[in-house]
Amino acid sequence: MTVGNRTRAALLLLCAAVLACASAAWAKSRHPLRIGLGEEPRTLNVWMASDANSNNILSQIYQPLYRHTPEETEMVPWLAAGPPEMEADGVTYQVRLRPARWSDGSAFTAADVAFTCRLIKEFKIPRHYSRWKFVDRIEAVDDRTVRFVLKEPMAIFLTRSLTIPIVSEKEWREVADAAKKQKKPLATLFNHTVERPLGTGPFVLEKWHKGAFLHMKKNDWFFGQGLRIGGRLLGPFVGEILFKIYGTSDVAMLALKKGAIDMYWQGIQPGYIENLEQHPEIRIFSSERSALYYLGFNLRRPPFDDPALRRAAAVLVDKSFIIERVLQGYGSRMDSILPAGNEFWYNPNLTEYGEGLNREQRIRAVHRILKEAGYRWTRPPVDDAGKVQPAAGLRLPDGSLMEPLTILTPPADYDPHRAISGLLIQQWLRQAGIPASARPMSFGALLQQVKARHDFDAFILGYGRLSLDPDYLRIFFHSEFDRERGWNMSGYHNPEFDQIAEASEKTMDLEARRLLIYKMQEIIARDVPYLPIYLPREIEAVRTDRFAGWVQMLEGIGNIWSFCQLSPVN
Amino acid sequence: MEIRRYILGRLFQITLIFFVILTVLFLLFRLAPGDPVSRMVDPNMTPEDAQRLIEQLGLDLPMWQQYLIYLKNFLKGRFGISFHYGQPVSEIILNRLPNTILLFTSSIVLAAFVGVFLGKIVSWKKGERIDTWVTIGALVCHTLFLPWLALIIIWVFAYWIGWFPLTGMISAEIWTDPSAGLLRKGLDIAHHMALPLTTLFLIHFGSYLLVMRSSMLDTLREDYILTARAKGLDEATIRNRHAAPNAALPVITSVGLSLAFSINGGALTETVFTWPGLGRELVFAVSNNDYPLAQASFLLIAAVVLTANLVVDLIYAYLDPRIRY
Amino acid sequence: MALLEAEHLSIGYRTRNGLLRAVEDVSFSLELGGSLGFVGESGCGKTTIGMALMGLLPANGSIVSGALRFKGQNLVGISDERLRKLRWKEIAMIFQAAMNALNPIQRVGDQIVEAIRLHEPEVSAAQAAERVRSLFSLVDLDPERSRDYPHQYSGGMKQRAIIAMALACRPDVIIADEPTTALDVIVQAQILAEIRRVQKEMDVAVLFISHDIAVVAEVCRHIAVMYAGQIVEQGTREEVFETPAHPYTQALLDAYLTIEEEDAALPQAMKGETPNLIVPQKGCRFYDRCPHADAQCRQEPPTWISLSPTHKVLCYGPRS
Repeated sequence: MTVGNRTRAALLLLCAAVLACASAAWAKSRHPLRIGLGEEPRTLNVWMASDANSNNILSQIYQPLYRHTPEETEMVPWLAAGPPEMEADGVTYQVRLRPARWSDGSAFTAADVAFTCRLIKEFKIPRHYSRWKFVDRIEAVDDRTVRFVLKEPMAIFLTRSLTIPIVSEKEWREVADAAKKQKKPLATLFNHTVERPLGTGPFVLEKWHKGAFLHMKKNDWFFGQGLRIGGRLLGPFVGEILFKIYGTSDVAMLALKKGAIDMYWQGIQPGYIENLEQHPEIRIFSSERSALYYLGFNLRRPPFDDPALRRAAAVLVDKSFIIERVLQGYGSRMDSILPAGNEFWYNPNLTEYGEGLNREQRIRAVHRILKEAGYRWTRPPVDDAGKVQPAAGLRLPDGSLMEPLTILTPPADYDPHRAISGLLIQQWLRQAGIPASARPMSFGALLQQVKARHDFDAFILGYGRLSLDPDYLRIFFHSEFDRERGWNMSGYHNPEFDQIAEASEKTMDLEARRLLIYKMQEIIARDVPYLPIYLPREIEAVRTDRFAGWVQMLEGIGNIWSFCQLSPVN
Repeated sequence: MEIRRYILGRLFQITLIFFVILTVLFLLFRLAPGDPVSRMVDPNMTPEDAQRLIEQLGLDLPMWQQYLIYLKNFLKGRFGISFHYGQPVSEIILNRLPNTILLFTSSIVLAAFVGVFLGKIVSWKKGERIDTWVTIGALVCHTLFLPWLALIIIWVFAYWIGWFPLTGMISAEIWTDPSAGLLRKGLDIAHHMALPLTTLFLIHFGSYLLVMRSSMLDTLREDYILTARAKGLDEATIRNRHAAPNAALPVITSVGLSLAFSINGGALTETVFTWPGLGRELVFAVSNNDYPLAQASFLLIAAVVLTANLVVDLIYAYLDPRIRY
Repeated sequence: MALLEAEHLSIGYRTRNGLLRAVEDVSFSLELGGSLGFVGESGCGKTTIGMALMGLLPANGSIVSGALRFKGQNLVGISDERLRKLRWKEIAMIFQAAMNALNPIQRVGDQIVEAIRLHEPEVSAAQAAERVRSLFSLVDLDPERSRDYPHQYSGGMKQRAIIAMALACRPDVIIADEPTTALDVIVQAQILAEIRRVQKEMDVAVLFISHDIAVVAEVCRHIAVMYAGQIVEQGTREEVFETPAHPYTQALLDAYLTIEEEDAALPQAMKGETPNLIVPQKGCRFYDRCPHADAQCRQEPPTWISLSPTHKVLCYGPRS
């Protein structure tokens, strides 16, 4: 290296250092909250958005009429001024609105609410329409009152319908009118590019620098500012938020440790915890989730069309082992389709298959179950002397040899937990002579196989972010949804269940509905179309040296309550 | 006159190949398992919703009809709208492409220059210590696992010493600062580029060095090098004027094609460095069945590579008088 | 004083198995304007002598002993830099015709200009180009074609261009190493004629190396026959041709005549291997292949026998 080059290199390094210092100094002076995202949001079009990151951003902007408190026990009025008032006919509701303004200062009115709901109905917007199709009429009674007339009583109206984000008529009217004239109105609506969404939430989007960051500023028109809702005084007390993207959690953790971000808005693997705990300024939150990770069976064809075999499989699967070894203890076993954290609806008195049994006891139990159901082996898992041995040649009650079967799982790079669980379950089933093999498959292919083609024996999938309202029980197991792309992927048909499910949908009395939901959980636990396995915990890490006030609730700390309550330290 | 006919012929050939690729891509993506709708794991998505989405995306039509529409749109210069971004594919690509070119193309150029230069130097010192060490170094760099190297570099220079930003292309703090001028923003990009560029450079320069070195060693056995010596030329002149230009010829093809392929970026590098390039977009589009985006990206790459092939051949012909069309 | 003179010159190559003595105790001299031809099979050391004269021995080769004098100055141990200046200016070379002696991506003329301006920096580019044109005329090439690339030339044209290049700096000696091998017979004859003419016109000394004794005879007044690293017979063209003394020379001449008639590859008498040059045998190196060998030939190396003031042979029992 010549002297000239050396000088140049030194200059470059100097520049780098100056830049680093300058940006650090600037950050201090403006004090923005800096949040890491695992991926860039895909869109700011609220109707199109289906990915977590887009929804994270949009949840700061578009607000619902009601939302759950962090304690989860009740819904509190958010954009609404009070609880919905039901009229005597049982199908008409009136909702009063708070005096609120859009982030451009214009008034938020009943017309905006009516517009939003009609938009969903007119365009049959996927993921929203099913919650609104039973609503017959939506009327703006006056500027601050909306009236909803339902076709029939519907339990999910309060919990699921009135929690959709409200958009402004001003922002969407023209777009919707233009879209309606197109050949493909829904696609046109979806493909409308939103640069600066107009909302009522605590923050407004200042700039989205594609590929790099999002910059949000405090919404001075936020209706909740200074109000006490759900027992909490709302801010926001943060002037700006910068959302930065980190392609890998490895680097995001470095950013957190270095202080480049204050929070990483994405669950992390338990493996990071030990290292993070060495940094006193980093705090780990481990939160309950509303999710379901399960083994699903195909009831449309042998061998899992037999409930006895499914129950046997349920006994063989050692959920505690998976939680200890695969989730490193960060999770809990599931026996119902509903997570135990959903206290109001969760039925705690369900069969806990195989609970407390060791490996040998499980195999003996399964041997008994299957023998009683008419299964035979050329070499049974328990020999005549009562000793457990490797089983072989399992025959179905009709005498035919059980064909090899596959358990489809997502690939390890998509979700290592599910892929490894698949391998474990394969081994456990084989101990009873069930010729199972786990097969990782790309996520898209797996869903197509299971959901569209119904061509599979068993699969492991999961639902993240299930709503608190348990209506999904009906969606997962009502025979009506055993269709191509329907969510009854097992092909479960039970008239008794269907009847109870339909009743639960329309029962407005909470206690009465709870009994129905309990019953549904019981039936599913008995028939095991899905075998719930585990509920992982949401692990999140934040820095405590610049901001405080994170609110922990179901699904973690990345929620609107946190963003309304966070304030700078000192 | 001859050359013009040759180029026209090649262009015709390229167009033909391009349309074959276009068709193959269309089939490939549609025959791959999965569809853009079934991935959405959300109980709120009813079968009717899914069907409606399929119709809105035009995927309910018979394949041949979809193909004709695709072909027609392509000829009109319309590449469609990304299923997942709801944004025109051309916008997405135009947003990502400059970033990719900035990082990947420049790293290839740098790696090629340094690799060729070093390869030239060490081949002249074959068997000496410098040759041994540089060659071993190049081999080691060449075989390093990129994500691993990238993480090490990030850890050392961005986290531990802290000279450079961790990842990304720009700093949110600087770009949201209204007082930041163009120079500061430009320096900020350079600052962010340093580590990914170094990583890519380290991974790539070795192969050019090794190719150039072995090409040089072959050339040194050529008779005209003996002639040059006999003429009394000094070593530097023999190396730079007689050996290197001949030895560089095969390297040109390799560099030219690497340059062309560099526009597809690298999914691994882009992921680790959170570089908003085309590579990750491409992988993402393929795995999410975002047909319009995946097709357009691959078509762009095909077009660039096909054109680059022609350009490389023309450059080759210009540099090597033995080749004439 | 001879222009070029070798005295007891030995050249060796370091190999994995030991020092390979490619040239052993060779002495010869070349007068100003004279011509000396080296004849022998491939591997006999004749090319090594040429390369040693140019200072272009490969890295593992070196002059082991003896002296090599050019205009009285010993080239052995001379600095690289001085040797480099000497090349082409004083001693130029015409390479084997089968070689790609011209750089394929430079114009032929430019390659000659490069040599001229290297050794005569005072010559301008235009003057050098002018000299190239006249050199081209001299070797019967169209001067216009100096702007062509080598691949546009036929084999004969390339060889003429190389001759032109060798003459570019008006050297005193030209080493011609198999300049006509691989050319067809007619072109071969033309090139040989060219070399003869040029030698005469420019009064340049020629050291001609070939495996083909007939070709050497066409150009050279003096001939040295080489076998296994040694000169075994030396004399004027007439002496060697008409009264060959060494059995090897005789075999070569026989072969030449046979080829003329039957186009055979090797004469019957030439069976057998060339000897190992790492551990040379004790006696005559030609012993294994010699039809006249006796016990003495096996035991003792032969010594030189003078047959005339210019003709000598390295053999015990030379026969004529």
